[in-house]
Amino acid sequence: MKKYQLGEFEEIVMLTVAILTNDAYGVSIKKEIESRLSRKVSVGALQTALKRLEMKGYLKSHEGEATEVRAGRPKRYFEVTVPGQKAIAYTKSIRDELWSAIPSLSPELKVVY
Amino acid sequence: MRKRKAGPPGLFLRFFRWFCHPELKDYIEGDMMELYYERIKNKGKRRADIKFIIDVVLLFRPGIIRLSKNMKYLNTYAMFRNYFKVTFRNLVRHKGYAALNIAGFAAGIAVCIVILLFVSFERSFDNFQPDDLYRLNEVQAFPGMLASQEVALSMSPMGPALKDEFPEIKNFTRVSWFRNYMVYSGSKKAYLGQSFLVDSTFLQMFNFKMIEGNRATALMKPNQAVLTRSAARKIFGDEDPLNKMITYYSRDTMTFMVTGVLKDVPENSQMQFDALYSFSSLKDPTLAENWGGNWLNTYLELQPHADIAALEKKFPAFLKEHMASSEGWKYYTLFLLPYKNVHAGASDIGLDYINYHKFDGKYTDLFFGLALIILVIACINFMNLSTARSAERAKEVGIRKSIGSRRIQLAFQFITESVIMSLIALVIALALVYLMLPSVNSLSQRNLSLDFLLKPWPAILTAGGAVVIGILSGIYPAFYLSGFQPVKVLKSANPDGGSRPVLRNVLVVIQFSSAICLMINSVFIVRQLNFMLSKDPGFDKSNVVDIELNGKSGSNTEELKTELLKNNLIKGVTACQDILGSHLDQSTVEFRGDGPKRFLTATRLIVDPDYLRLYKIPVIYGRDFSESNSARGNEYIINETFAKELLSDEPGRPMSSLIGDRFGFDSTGTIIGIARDFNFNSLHNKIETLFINNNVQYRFSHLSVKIDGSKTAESLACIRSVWDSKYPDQPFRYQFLDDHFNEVYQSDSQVSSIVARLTLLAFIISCLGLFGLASYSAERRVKEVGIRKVFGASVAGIAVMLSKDFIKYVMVASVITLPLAWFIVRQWIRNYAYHIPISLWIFLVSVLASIVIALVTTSYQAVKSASANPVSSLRNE
Repeated sequence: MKKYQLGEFEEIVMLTVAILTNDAYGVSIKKEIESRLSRKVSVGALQTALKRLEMKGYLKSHEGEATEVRAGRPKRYFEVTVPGQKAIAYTKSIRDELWSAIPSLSPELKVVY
Repeated sequence: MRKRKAGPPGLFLRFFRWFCHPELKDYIEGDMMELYYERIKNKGKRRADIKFIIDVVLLFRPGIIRLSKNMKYLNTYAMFRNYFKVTFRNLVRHKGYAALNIAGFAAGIAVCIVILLFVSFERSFDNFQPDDLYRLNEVQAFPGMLASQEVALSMSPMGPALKDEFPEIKNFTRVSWFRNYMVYSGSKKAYLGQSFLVDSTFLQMFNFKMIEGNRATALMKPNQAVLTRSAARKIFGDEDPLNKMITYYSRDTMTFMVTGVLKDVPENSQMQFDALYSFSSLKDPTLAENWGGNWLNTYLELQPHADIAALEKKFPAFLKEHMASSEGWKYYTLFLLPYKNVHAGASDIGLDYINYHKFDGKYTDLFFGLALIILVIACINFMNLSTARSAERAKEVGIRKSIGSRRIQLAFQFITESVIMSLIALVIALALVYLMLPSVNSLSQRNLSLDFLLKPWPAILTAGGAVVIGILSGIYPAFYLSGFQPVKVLKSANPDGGSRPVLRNVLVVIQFSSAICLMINSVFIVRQLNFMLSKDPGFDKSNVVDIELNGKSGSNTEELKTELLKNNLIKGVTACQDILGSHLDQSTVEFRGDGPKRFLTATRLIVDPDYLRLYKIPVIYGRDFSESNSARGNEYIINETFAKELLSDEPGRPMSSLIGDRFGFDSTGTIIGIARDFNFNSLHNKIETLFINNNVQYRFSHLSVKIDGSKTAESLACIRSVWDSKYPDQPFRYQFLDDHFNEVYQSDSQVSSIVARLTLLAFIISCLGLFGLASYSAERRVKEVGIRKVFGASVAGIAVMLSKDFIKYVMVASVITLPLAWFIVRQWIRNYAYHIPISLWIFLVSVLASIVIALVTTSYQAVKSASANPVSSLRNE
């Protein structure tokens, strides 16, 4: 049983990449996270996370087109890999297990579930 | 319209480009630019700039920063092995150049090591003694002397009086010396070199290690002695010498009890002795209390941080108080010299009898500077020769670069080569030093050795030093060679290294200037030395043997004389108080001419009547000493200088009028004659005032025997047999007067040897440098030579053309160096009262010689290039 080490921010980044499917590159990921979660993301933190995820093998990247607005620099598109999918699924299932193990203290909680 | 800066803040953009990992750089930069232009649209340029800056700063984090280049070199070990291999292959393939380069380096390093050994030994003198020790010295300015003199002597009662009256002075000790005498213990006898008579405080003030005995009490009572371990062994063998008695025969027989044993005195101590005797053993109390007799040295221990200048200012009053009766205080000034400076700083101080191998500290510093200069020149040569061979390495550099070597790697490779060569040079240098040391030691009378290398730290430091030198010398060639562009070098194998070798030319000029300057100086030194040795000193010193007299033999010279003269190998015998050529004693005499009595101080020589005849010193006025007994003791002969001094107030009066005037230690004698001036001291000094007294009752210390020059060995044997028959238990110590005079000039001859050798070295190094230059230039002009040959130039013509440039350098060097050399020569030659003139032809000849040497050096290269086959050099066009 493999252990999938995934930090909180990394998890969010991976989920965002999965959401964006074919359009996940630096700027778009950053905008997506910022709009959905209303939290500021620095380019540096994002790039580090992306790099680490790629080193772990959860993401893979390919080169995109260069545009003038990018001063001629190409884009780098990311995709979730199969191990990556397994990783986020695993993380989610862990969360679910934990949630279900909470004793029912109030009926509202149970209702939400 | 104002021009606005387009794009994001350039500084930060550049900063980002610098630190960002190359793999990520493009993408991130693209993202940043996209965001930037969006932000401009949304919030304006200013906000966009600010956010850009923030983002760049936040991007400065470990995940993004590129790995430093070093991290890439994970296989450094493998690269080093390659470097070693390549280095050795290169050395083997170009054995000639490699040998030349390494040899030059080794020579420079060897000389540097030798000089540093000498300097460090000199500087280590007396370093084991405590601080705050000083020696008391005097400046004597007596009437009758031509100049005042600084002397190391002091008066016996000064020490105790100083200690009592000045709280700054904690302690004192007096030291008097005597040499070369026999010591007996029962039936055993031994010969001790030098011993001191010292106060009991000596052992407490100085750090001489005591093996046996009590430092505080060993020399407190009269007739106590402390021996060094080797002296003790000489006398007593392996027995414990403590509490045994030793006897010393001189004017009086004295017996001492041994109260202690000291470790042998180390080489680096200004005081060298075999035994110490207690000062209180002196039988004659007047000697100890006498104000006016300067016959010993006084050493003082001062309070820490004492004010020397203030103390010295109090001395004149001190002297006046103690010497009020005799007026002597007018003629003396006392001054202090720190004990640790005595070895190096007392060159101007005379009558300095216990200053072992005194050597002027200024020369030591000079030598140190020279060592550094030589090292620098050797390194520069190394650089020159390495870059001169550039054509051969050019292809290698080109190939390595095109395969992917970075410039730093190549530089590193060449530096490794230099370091390896310098380590090899170090080994060779050490071998050279080992071979040179015996002659250096005998030249400098020191005992230098390479033993220091046996300890781990010095050995490591030396090796480290060689590595550092290798790196420093290798940097320039490394960067020069690694800068070749592959395209250029692979195409034509002619690197044409960019900048013209101006630096190199300057270096060669400097090298030649120093070599020529040294050559000129050494020629002058050698000639001055020869001049001093061969100049007629005014008396005949050939074939004279000087014999040391002592005690019994000194008081009865008439008998010895008659015995010796019986043999016809002996041409003459005379007795005197001291040997010519050493510093003779001085004393005060009275002179009563027509005016009032005058007291003067002059050099004194006490002799028997035959003295002037044996040495063939002419008496120009009056007469020589008479043989008759009645006249003994009253006859005085003065030299011309003294006569002039006596008549200094009456220049018109002729010298002959002095004959008959009363003169002498108590005005009891008369001047019977005036002798021609002769050099009784070394030619360093002008001739001082001298008076000669005929007094056979005097206990003479030296016997001068003139022998048959053609039968030296037999004459010596004859003298020896007479001596042994009369004084069998006194050692027969003799010296040829010629040898003695050579000794007097020994330090001069040492300096001249050293300078001559340094000249040779400087020329070798300069020629190496020139050789490198010539090779480099020859390489560059290969094509030019080829073309000229095709057009019909002769080998000789081309060789001349190639060499012409270098002769230019030598000429420039000469022009620079001539005034400098002239200035230097003038400086030191003035120190000799009698010196050779500074002749121009010496300068010219030196320059000419240098030109010839330079020609010979460059001719090899010139001829080689000139004879090259033009076909092969033009083939690649």
